Amino acid sequence: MNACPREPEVVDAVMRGNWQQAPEALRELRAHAASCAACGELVTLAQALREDHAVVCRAADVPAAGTVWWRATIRARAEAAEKAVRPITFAQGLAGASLAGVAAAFAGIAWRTFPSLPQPDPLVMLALGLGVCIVIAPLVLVFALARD
Amino acid sequence: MRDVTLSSLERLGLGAADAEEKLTFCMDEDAFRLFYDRTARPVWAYLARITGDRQLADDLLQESYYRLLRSRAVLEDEAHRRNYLFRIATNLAHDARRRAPMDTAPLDDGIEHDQPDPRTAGDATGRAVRRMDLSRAMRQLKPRERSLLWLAYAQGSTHFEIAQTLGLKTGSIKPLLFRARRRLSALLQEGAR
Repeated sequence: MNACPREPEVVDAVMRGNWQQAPEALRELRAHAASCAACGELVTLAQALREDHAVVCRAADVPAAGTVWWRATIRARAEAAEKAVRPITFAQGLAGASLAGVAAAFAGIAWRTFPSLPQPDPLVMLALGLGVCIVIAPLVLVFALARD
Repeated sequence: MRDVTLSSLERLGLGAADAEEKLTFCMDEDAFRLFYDRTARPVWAYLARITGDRQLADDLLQESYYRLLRSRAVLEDEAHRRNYLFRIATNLAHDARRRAPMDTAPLDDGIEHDQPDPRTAGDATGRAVRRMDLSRAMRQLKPRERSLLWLAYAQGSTHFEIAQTLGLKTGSIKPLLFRARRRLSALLQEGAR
């Protein structure tokens, strides 16, 4: 089956809802649709979809415009506030990570003041300090974000 | 979403004026109410039919209007705004479907069928059966085919409007629509057998 050049006319008539209501005005087009496979199929489907659209629209239980507006306002406000505190949260995370790094460095220095303890390589100590930072930083961020 | 209140803004030294400034919507409340009253039901119907899920349609409806309100796109007139809204709804529905593919099995979309009038009970039953068949066949179509058919024949959108909504070229709508129609027709005939 091929598309028919009269399909737009048929769709227009069905969409206007006067395919059956005004048979005289559309007699010629209806006769064409009755003999054209493409247009006949189009009428059947378009009528079914149009009818379904009307039923679904009637059944739609949408919230009131005021409710949707109010929810949007609340949400936009919350998003704006969240955006405003984001740099502080980031700074808190950074500070926490730095603190953890400093603590690790102090621990290393303190360790070296006890010669009786085994003394690891300074590079190992540095790697350990960085490792602590890497582990602690995300944890501090999680706590900072969860606090609010 | 984290619960951040205006008082937390005040603690940061941001006054209510700053907070309000960030609440820029693309239209004022009165314009929104008018627009919403004209479009909410068709958008919900579209979402309900392309997702096949009434609950999801409720959620996506709210989200669609929120995104429209927050959009920075230049929307020249109501028709443009309407097409843009349907485009947002389409994208949200596609994203939702990617997360949870549509089930083709259930027939009950939760939408009440017409209460049959005893005098025309036969017609009403016939209509209900046709709607059930249509609903089942629509569920078996590809998402884009469902959108195309609904926009073209249920809503009566022009090819240009459909192209804007689905992000396609206007010239490609006609053949795509024809193929979708053939497929729906075949599915309905299969169902009738």
